[in-house]
Amino acid sequence: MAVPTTGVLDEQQVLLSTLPPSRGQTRLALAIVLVLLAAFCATVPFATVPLPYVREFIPAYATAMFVINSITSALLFVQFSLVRSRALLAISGGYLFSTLMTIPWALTFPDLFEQTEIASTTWGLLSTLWHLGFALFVIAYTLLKDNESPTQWLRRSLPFAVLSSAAGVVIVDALVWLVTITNASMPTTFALFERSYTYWNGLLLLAFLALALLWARRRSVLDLWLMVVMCGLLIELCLIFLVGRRYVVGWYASRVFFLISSTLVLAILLSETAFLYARLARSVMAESREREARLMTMDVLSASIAHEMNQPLASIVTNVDAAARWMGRPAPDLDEVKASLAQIRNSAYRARDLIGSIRAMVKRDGRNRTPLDLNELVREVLALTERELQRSRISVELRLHEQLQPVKADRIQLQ
Amino acid sequence: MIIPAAILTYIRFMQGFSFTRNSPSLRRAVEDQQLQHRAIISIIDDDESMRCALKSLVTSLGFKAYTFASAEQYLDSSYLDDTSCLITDLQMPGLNGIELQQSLLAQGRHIPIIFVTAFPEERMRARAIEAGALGFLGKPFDSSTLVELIDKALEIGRKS
Repeated sequence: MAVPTTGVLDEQQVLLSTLPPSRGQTRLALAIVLVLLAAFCATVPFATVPLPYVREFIPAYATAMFVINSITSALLFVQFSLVRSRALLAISGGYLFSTLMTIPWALTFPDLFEQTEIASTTWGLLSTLWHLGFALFVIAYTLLKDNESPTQWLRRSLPFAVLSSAAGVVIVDALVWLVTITNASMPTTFALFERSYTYWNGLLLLAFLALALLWARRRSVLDLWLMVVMCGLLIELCLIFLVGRRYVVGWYASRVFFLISSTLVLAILLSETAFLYARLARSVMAESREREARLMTMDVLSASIAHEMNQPLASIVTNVDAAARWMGRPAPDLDEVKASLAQIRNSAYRARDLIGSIRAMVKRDGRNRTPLDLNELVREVLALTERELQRSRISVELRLHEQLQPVKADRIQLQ
Repeated sequence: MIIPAAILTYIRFMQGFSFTRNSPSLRRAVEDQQLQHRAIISIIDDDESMRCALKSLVTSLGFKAYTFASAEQYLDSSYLDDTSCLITDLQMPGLNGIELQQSLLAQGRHIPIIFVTAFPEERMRARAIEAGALGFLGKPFDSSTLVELIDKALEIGRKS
């Protein structure tokens, strides 16, 4: 996270969704994923070991997920209000969906209320929909990410945020109702489907697809940490698939892994936001200091200009008055008048030279022109901007005239 | 014998006062004659064109003008006793106008000083007037104002 020395930031460095991740962050993300994988591998041998039934586990887990997802969703909605891109709307909607699904999911957990096989499959269905929905939203985010231009109808973001929240609630309610209705009428169909391989393969494939797309199109800090979340999700799905029943190590572990990855991601996103806020505040303060310094310099400069300009002007006026008096005498002294006129002209030229030197002083680089090879300059500039070009997927074809004469120019100004 | 002498003296007296008071050009001509070898005006300015312009103006008025490029040059010169009026710039390398004024006062010389400066600041003006300067003009200035001040300076010189 290199802090720019000038203190003035551009838009890219200030937003979570556009800030490119630093080396340290990438390494941290990689480390977290490796730790999760290691934990996954460590749990696999013991996955089917049964553990005592902890009644509070699912409600606690659901509450934790609710809080984490709602905070993440709020954070992403704030990003959306700043950037107004459809991709951000998709991902914040996804987190909102996740938040809202947690409630019916927790409430339909069968063993909480000692229900029958029907309740169990309802819960299973809602679980599926939750994971499916989340994966789909992430895919939507990845696909919409690269159309950068903000569309007309997203101009006012607050109504959209409210609208999408309302839509989320409606959709979730509809899904839950649908699920309970279909389940009541066809209780066994889904139960059978849930145990089949195609179901699990489909889900895993979808999650993998989301991860792969994110990896291919990763650009910002947000993308990096979404990948960590998707890894956590994949691990959870794998473990549940492997285990197939409740209250075993694998079942508890899968939930815990996903919870840990989500918590970590939220913690890091929040700290990154706080850090960016600090940078932004510093940049604003630096800008206002710079502006004040510039005003002071201008004040001093204008005072010295006034002082310098008044000398030749006063000389001109005094010479004019002197000439008038010489001519007003009973015997006008024309030699003195001529001398005065010559002095007037010299003073005027002096004033002109003064203005020229003031202008030269005010320009940033004085007059350092050196002979340059233009081809070399072009290659240098390309090397400097290579990273930006790669990121914007622009390829540059060089067609340089080999026999160029060296030109006298200011290197920095040309660059 | 006494009566013509008295009449002559009376006429001379009247020439000196009432006629000259009503006719400025006549007064100037008389003053030219009277003061031609006495009114020396010293001009101090680090800017050469200003020095020449002021010298030309002062000479056109009928006085003798001597120019100096710095306050030190003036203080080292031999015209200190003969100067009837001093026209000086404020901001100069070396001794500035205010310091020159203080130095002259310390020497006990009460030469009437007129300041002409390119950057007239209120504080400097107050300081100069407080220390006894005759006038404080900003460049560019109207020459008739300067002429009035020179007249005032010579009046003071005549009275003392």
